[in-house]
Amino acid sequence: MSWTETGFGVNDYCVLVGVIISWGIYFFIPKLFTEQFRVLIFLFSLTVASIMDNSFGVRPFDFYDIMDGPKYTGMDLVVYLLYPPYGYFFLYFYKKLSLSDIYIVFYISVATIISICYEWFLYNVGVFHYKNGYQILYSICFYLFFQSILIIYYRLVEFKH
Amino acid sequence: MIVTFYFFISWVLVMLFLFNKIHQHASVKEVTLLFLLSCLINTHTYVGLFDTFKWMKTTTERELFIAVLIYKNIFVPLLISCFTLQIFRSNRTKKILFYLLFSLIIVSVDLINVFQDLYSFKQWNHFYTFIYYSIFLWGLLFTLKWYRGLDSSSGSENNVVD
Repeated sequence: MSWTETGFGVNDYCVLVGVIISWGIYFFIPKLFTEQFRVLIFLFSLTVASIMDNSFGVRPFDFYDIMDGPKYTGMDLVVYLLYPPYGYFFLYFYKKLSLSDIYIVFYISVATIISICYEWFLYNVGVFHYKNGYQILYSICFYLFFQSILIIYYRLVEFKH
Repeated sequence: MIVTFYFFISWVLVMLFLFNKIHQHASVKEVTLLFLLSCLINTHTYVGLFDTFKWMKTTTERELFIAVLIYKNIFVPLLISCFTLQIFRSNRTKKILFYLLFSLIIVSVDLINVFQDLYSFKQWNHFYTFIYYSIFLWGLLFTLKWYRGLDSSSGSENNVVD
């Protein structure tokens, strides 16, 4: 397995910068959750992204490619490092803002808009390549669904605690 | 047919987790850890086997591929999480019995998958499947042990709630 398919380009540098910045912020901000729960947030973000990519990004669906093309490269794996900090920030601000129930819909909607904007940026620099009729707007459904699941799960664990 | 089969047994496993005593000695967080970790490892392993190394060839029919997705992303993670929890809390004799039962189920469903054309082997066989899932299972057992000791070893964090 090689690192890239066509050599290092803008998309690779954008991913590396994104990874460094997001993990840098993660290490800088206070830790609001226990180590056990942080592991779960990271795992949730990684697993959801992996399942989506390995289900809808491969044949017979084949709706998109990551990085340079369809081959599985080292930089494809580096892209996954972008997701755990995002999942953490999502719950961090949810908890930090102490949102009442009525604002949860608004919060998830704003987070989805931010996610879509970032995905659009990554699409433009060549991290994602949509195929077979897939459009970026379809991603909204996934963001809304999985961010809602994450908040429901957090509240379930918090309630149990 | 095969989609319904995997959907049904996955549903049975979910119901057993929710309403039965599979996880009576485990917390919600531990069950979640095992399920998510199993999904993560399994989905990447099968992509490696199907696409990167091409040791197996998966179906290109959408209906059968949905069965593959349910199998690798829902059924196997639920099954392996269930057996990890059972083996973790059992005595030595029961550990061996559960391990044998798990191996039997995994090899049987692997046979069914090949028979139903969900995938075919190129440089792979049922014995490799058995070895892979055995290593996977023991890996999860060690992960569960590590996870249980995590917060007791990091009790110095302030302002922490979970």
